[in-house]
Amino acid sequence: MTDEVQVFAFAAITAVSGYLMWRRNMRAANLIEGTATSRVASAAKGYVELAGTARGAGGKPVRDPIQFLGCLWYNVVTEKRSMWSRNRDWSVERREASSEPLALQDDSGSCLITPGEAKIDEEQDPDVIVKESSTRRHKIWRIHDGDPLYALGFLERREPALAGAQGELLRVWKRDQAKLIERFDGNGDGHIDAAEWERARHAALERAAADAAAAPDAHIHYQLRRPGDDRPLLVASRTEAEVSRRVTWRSRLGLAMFVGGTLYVLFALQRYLT
Amino acid sequence: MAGFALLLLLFVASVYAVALYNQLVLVKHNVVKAWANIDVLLKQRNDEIPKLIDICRQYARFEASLLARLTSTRAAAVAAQQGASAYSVGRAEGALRAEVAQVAAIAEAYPDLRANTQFRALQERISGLEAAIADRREFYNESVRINNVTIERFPATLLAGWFAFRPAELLKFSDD
Repeated sequence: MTDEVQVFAFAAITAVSGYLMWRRNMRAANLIEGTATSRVASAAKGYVELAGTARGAGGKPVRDPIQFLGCLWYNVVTEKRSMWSRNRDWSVERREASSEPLALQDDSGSCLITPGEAKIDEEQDPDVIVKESSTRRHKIWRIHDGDPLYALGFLERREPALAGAQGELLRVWKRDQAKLIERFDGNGDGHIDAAEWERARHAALERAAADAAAAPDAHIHYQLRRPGDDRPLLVASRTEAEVSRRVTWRSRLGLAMFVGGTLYVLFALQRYLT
Repeated sequence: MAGFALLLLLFVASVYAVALYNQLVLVKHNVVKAWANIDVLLKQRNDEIPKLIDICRQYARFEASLLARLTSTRAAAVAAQQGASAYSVGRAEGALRAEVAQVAAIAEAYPDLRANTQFRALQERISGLEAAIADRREFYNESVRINNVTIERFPATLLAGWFAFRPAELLKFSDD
């Protein structure tokens, strides 16, 4: 009886997770197949599909924490299992992904992608599985410079937040009143009047613009974000055809799990009721 | 049991049909959006042409007949745009691009005109807009292809027929 209940519960869980998997992947497949690929520089603001090559965005160098290999992005899932318990399945112990932005480059321009907002290579096979012991292993996904990169998300122009940077600079300058007066007190009366304050504001704005232009990612004029609605920001280091094939396959697998699980649940219920 | 199985089959079919319908709506709206993106640029480019004509007119010897043709071709392009048919826009656009190219070619013979900074800036702006139009036309045509393939595929073609989803027209310039 206990075994039957366990199988029933397993079938029910399979049916529910299969249904969710089917719907989610069918929707992703529809979005991928239904959206034409844009070129970065001529894409209109909105939900777009881009395809190109992965490039660094000029931020800090990234190395995965297990093999210490340089890459643009990594995701490490550490799994463990018990040596002695009855259930020897792997369970997730820890997840860690890099947060440095990366860029998608095509022949027209580059676009910044912030990993925290994206579903990157989710549900793809890991690049490597490192076995630490018989009870602990690390699955590692990596994106390297030059890898093919596919992305589907909300594209917008990057505008440097000059007003915020200007305000921050002015706050810093105001902390050192003596230096502020030395720099901007044109008439030498020991006070900063309205005209002198305007000059300080202008200088802060110029400095903020210069800092923004000197930023390592200043040449990247676009960024891809998660849209405000429930559509995803999908990123994969695969070609569009591979990504599409993968989600279609997962959608069919989900459907099979849903139908199989549901049929078993119905069959078991009927047997129990009669 | 057979009744349950039939119900399950109906459920799966209806979820699939809803997803298919949503897919048809998505590809149709992608075509509309892609067209709107071209439309904006065509309007911007058409707004620049009268300025180009005005500058050229300042040079008395500049071919008056070419400018008159450019004026009427632009008017035809604006009218075609209002009709929003890809075929007529494509034809008018091809003719207009040919006239603008001719103005640029003839301007080579007018050193004063070529030295005019306003003329040079306008030429750059117009060619920049035309490059962007070319890129977006490619994107529009790809959206049209996706739309047309989607509505012709089985079983989407059944839903497309019932709900009157129509194939869209490719945008071809007559000078292609």
